[in-house]
Order: sequence, then structure tokens, then C-alpha cells
Amino acid sequence: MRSYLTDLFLFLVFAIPAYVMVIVFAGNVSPFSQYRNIKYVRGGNGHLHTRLQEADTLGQVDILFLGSSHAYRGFDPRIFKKAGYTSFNLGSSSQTPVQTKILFDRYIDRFNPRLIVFDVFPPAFNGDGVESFLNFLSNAPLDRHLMMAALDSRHATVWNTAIFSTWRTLIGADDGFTEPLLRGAEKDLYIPGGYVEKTVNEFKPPSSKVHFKWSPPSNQWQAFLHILAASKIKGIPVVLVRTPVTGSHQYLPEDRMKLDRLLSPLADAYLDLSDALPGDPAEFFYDGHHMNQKGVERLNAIFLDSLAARGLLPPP
Amino acid sequence: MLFNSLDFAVFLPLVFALFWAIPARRTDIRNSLLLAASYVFYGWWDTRFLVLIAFSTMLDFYLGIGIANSTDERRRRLLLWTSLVVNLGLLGFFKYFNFFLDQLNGAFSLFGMPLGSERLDIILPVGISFYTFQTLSYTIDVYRGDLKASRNPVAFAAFVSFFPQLVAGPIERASNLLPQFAAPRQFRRSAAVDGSRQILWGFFKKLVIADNCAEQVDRIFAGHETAAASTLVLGAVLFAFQIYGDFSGYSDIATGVARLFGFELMRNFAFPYFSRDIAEFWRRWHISLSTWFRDYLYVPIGGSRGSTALRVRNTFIIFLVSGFWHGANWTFLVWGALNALYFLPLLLSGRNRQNLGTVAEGRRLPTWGDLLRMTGTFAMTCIAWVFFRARDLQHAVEYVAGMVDVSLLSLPNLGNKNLPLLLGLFIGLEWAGREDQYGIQRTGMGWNRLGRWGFYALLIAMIGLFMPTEESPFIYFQF
Repeated sequence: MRSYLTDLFLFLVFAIPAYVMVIVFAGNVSPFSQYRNIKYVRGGNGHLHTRLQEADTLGQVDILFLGSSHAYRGFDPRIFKKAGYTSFNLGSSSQTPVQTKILFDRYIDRFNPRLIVFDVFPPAFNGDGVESFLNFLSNAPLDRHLMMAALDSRHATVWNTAIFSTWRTLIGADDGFTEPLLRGAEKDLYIPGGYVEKTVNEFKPPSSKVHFKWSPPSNQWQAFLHILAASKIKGIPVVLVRTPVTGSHQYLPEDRMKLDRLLSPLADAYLDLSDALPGDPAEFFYDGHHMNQKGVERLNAIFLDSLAARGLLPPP
Repeated sequence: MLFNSLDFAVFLPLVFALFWAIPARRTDIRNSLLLAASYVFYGWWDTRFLVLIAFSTMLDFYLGIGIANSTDERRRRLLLWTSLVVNLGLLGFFKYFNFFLDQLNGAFSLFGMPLGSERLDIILPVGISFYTFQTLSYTIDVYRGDLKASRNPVAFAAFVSFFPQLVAGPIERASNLLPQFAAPRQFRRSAAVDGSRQILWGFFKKLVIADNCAEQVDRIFAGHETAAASTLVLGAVLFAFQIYGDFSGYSDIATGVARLFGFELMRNFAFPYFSRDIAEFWRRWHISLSTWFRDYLYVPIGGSRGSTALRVRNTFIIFLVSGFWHGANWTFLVWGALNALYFLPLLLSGRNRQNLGTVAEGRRLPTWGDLLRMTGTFAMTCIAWVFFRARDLQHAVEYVAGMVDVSLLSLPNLGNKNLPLLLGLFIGLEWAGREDQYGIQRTGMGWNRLGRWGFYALLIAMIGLFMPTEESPFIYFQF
């Protein structure tokens, strides 16, 4: 028995570095897409790399936006600037509360905001966060918090990508990388302040209606509560917001009530603006749940008015 | 609990450590631990299933004792029939009730008298077909006098529910497994090392081969109306690898896990796709089920004795019942019938036992003749597999018809470019190890430790690179 356990232990000691070597080798010698469980895309959708590079250069802001693509495509710092507020948008594609917490912990003291706006998009809360982890591991600086959260994901693709990303960081393989501000196919333009503007105005109608689901895994819910609690300790008011979506993505009134009852007590305000842009979806949206620039401008005006009416806007 | 889950990765080392921490002479405590672990393993799916397996266990335990204690043949027969009726009744209810109801409804509707009966919302308990057959073999063997009745309820319950093979076999014979629960077990390093290697190979088959094939198979079978004939052929071939990797992978893991605890399970697969005729295929595919049907059905109804008509009848019976065992669908019956049709010419010409050894034994490559025969046998099984995989008969017929078309000459839509490489490696390793118990049993045995461990680490890395990231149940769980 002892010799079996000793051999098993020695094999594990041998196999772990061997595994890392195979992952590094596999990631380097062939297009990544061929290996289903390594997804390293430097400069991926949503300009996370550029956003965090900019964030590292900034200081205090008035308003900090957190959340998924609804945050970084929904709140335009130029509009808030005109209203007299500095702001930064820390949203990223498919970001779930687990990744939001990583960014929150990393940047909250740097930005020391006077108001936090947290986009609460139910699918982001329900998700496992894998897509966002892969984005972070490819484009965000690697630190202990990100690696621990990635380990906790219990997902082979996340683990392999973490190994590969660590290797590239160690050898400085992406040190000279510069992300284009205008991304080709999507026509996404990065605007300083973390915002991404869709520069074309084509509407892709959604293929089917989306039904309400609210079942966040416990780690997502705990991360969300952590952000709210830490903000409270720091004395920063938090506004939870649901950004506008087209009719196909709107929930039934009773489901919206459920969310209202659940979220309202948790923050200083909960604003459900999901039906704030009615009418022809092509006018304000480019797909079922993302606004075009016209929609963003309209939403941001409505949002500023709502905050002012509730006395939540800090003095400019 | 699935083998390919993090839950099992915690469960197995824990049970392993507890098991061997118990002194060897305390077989009773070890059996109690295995029984408790098996019920936790099984109850992980649904605790309601435990009631059923506990009932079947207790029933057959006491019926076995009743049969053994009685000298009255009528009473013995009554007790045996009680076991058969109750066990098969439970299996029939959970697995076939709705199927027969549908057929009855359909038949009455034909005469304009629809019954209007509604299907029951029945959950099929995982592995019921496997443990039902295992307990049946026990009562039949006791009745025949081939086995002494167990007087130890814990050992018997541990035998019925032994977690490595509970939900998808191998379907163990009581005469092989039950005595192992009674004997004190010593840890054998060689068995544990070999078991660990077999577990690794099982996971490779399941997670790399079967699950990667499964994605393409699902895509091709779902879009068969628009797929080219060459793609449909590819879909059938990939399903052959999927079901083999899935099922034999499970058997390898089960056998390997059992060996970690000092148990030897019967062999379930012996490289069936290297068979030179369909009779050899059936001696190498799902051996525990084939031999079960041979011993408890085929031989009692006459087997290969008697007139030609009787032998044909018996062959059809065993293949049809085998097909129906897999599920309540006409597709499984046609799959069984097709295999019977493949088998008949060999049986009638007396050539069904001409390939008893391993192909190309002692040689590196097969002869051209063997290669041709293996390819032909594989092609026949692939056509039959279409019926096994299809959702209904219409789907299967359309699929097979679609395979005969000029688009057969076009390039198939492979979907996953890694598959040829993975399948090539898999076939190569299986071919090299075809004279052993499983593919990599002796791979690297002549190398130094670094080379051998490097090979195992490479297999683990390939699993990490190519496995699906969602837990995927084994196909045979549904049976």
C-alpha cells in the first residue's frame, strides 16, 4: 500500500508540471481554436485590455459603473461629463458579479467614487462566468484574486487558459500588445472612460423571446453582496439599474415585481429602466438588449433625471 | 454520481482510504462501508431510487434462502417465479409501461376505439436493467444449485449495489462477485496500479473519444435531411466510436475502480471493432450481457440444438430480447433484428465459431483478408448502430436511405478537425493492445519510468485539452 501511495504521489508531482508543459506547448504550436479547452484571445470583444490600461492611469471619479456589456455599452462618460460628473465604466462582456468583485476590489480605492451604478442584468447573475473569466485571463493583469477565482470556477477551459496566460505573462509574450480602438467587424469604438460606442446603426432583431430566470449560483450572489457591503462600509451609495431592452427581452410584470422586491432593499435605489425606450426597437437598439448611440443618449438623460429626482446625484 | 464529476473525485479517494484503513480480518465492516458508499453513490441521483434497490435486494436475499432451504420442487419453483415476476415486473413497469400503453392506444385507435389512457410520468431509475439482471442471475443460480444462497444480508446487499458497476455494468454473476465479498481482501499493489491505468484509459475513451464524437453525431443526426451522404456515413461511424468509447470506457473505469478495492470484475469488452465477423463481434461486445442472455435465455430455450427452424427462432429471440432490453423503442428491436440477420448466415453455415482468437495474433499488422473482413463487419455494425441511435424508425430509415446517394463521393462535413487525429491515436493504441485486457495495459512497459509516466501524463493532458466542460452522462445509464 505504502509503495502504491508513494508512487501515486510521485506521479502527481511529475504529472502536474508535465500537464503545464503540454498546455503551453499545445497553446503555442497550433491555432487556439483547435484545442477546445484553451481560449486565449488577447484583445477580445469589449476592449477590456484597453479599459484596464486606462483605469490604471486614472484617479478619483464621481461615478463608477459596474456590470456586464450593458454597463460599458450603456453609460457614456461624455454625457455625464457634460452634466458635470467624471465617471469611469468598469463593465465588460458577459461580466458576472464574480468578476465585478475582482475589479471592484482592485480599483475601488483608486477611483474612490461618490456613486456606484451597478447594472443588474439577470442572465449575467445566472451564469457561471466562464466567458468572462476567459476574457479576464486574456486581457486583465493576472493577480492572486483573479487566479483564485479562476481556480474556483472548476472549469477545464478556465484552468487551461489560466496556465497558458500565466506562461505568456511570465515570458512577456504580449508586452508590446496594443489593442485597436476601433474593432473591425463589430465597428466598436473605444471611448476614454471605459465606454464602447457602436459606430454602425444596424438592427439585428432577436430570434426568440427571452423568458425570465433568476437563479444566481451562490458564488455570484455572495460576490454581489460583498460589493454592496463593501460599498456601504466605504460610505458610497449604490444604485442598481436595469438598462433598456427590446420587447423580446422584457419580462412579465410579475417577474419584474419579483426582482424589484428582491433588489430594492439591497441598495440605495433600484431603477428598472428595462422598458424606458419603447417604440420601434430599430430606433434605439442594435440587437435585442443592447442600445445604439441614440438609445444610450436617451437612456443617460432619463437616468440622470431619475437620479436627480431621488436626490442621489452627488453635487457636481 | 457520475464517474466524470468532481463529486466522484472526492468520493473515491475517501472511500478508498476508509476501506483500507479497516483491518483485513473485519470483512463485515469493509462490506458495510462498501454498502454505505454504494448507497451514497446511487442516492446522489435520486434518493427515491434507494427504496427500489433495497426492496429488490431484500426480496432476492430471502427468496434465495427460501429456494436453498426447500426440497419441495413446487415451492422452489414458486419462489423462483416470484423473483422473476417481481424483478421483471418492476423493470417492465419503470421501463416499458408507457411504451406498451402507446402501442395499445395505437392498436385500439386503428379500430376507431381510442383508449384515451394518458402516459404516466415515470422516472426510469438509473441502472435498473443492470442490477435487475444481476439479482436474477443470483436466484436462478441458487435454484439451479450452481450457487449456495447467501446468508449474509450485508455482503449480499453490497454485491447487488457495488458502486463501480451498479449503474452500467458489467452485469456480474453472483458466482463470480459474491464470494469476493465473503473473502478477506489484501491490498495488491500490482492490481491497484493496473486498475489505476485502466481507469485512466477509461476516462480517455469517455471524455476524449466518446464525448468529442458525440457533438458531431448529435449535429449530423439532427440535420440528416440536409446532410450529404458522406456526412451521414461519417455520423454513423462516429456514433460507433462514441458508443464504444462511452460504454467500454465506463466498463474500464468500473473494472479499474473495483481493482482498487481488491475486486475482479468480469471483462465486458474485448476490442469488438477488430472482429472479423459478426459472431466474433458479439463475443467481444458487452460480454456480460451477451453471456447472460446465452446462459439464462438462449441455452434454456434450446440454443443451437435442434432443427434449423428452431435455431433460427432462438437466434431471433435472443437478439430481439437483447434489443428490447436496451429500451422501449422499435428502433432497438430493429437493431436486434438486424444483428440476428447478420448472424444467421454464419450460424446456418456453421462458421459462427471460426474466429475465436485475436486477429493478427503475434503479428504487427493484419493480413489484407483480415483487414477486409474487419472493415466489412464494422460497416455492418455501423448500419445497425443508426437504428440504435435514431429517435424513431422513420428517422433511422431516412438516415440510412440518405447514405446511398451520389453525394457519398463528396467530402464529409467533419465539424471537429481534431477528430481524425484523436481517433487515429485511439485506434492505434487499441490495435497495439488488442491481445491485452484493455488498450494501454502494456503500453510503455518496456520503457523507463520517465517515459511511461510521460505517456500517462500526456493522456491526462489530452483529457484536459479535449474533454467537454459540462458533465456528460454515460449513454448506457438510460438503459
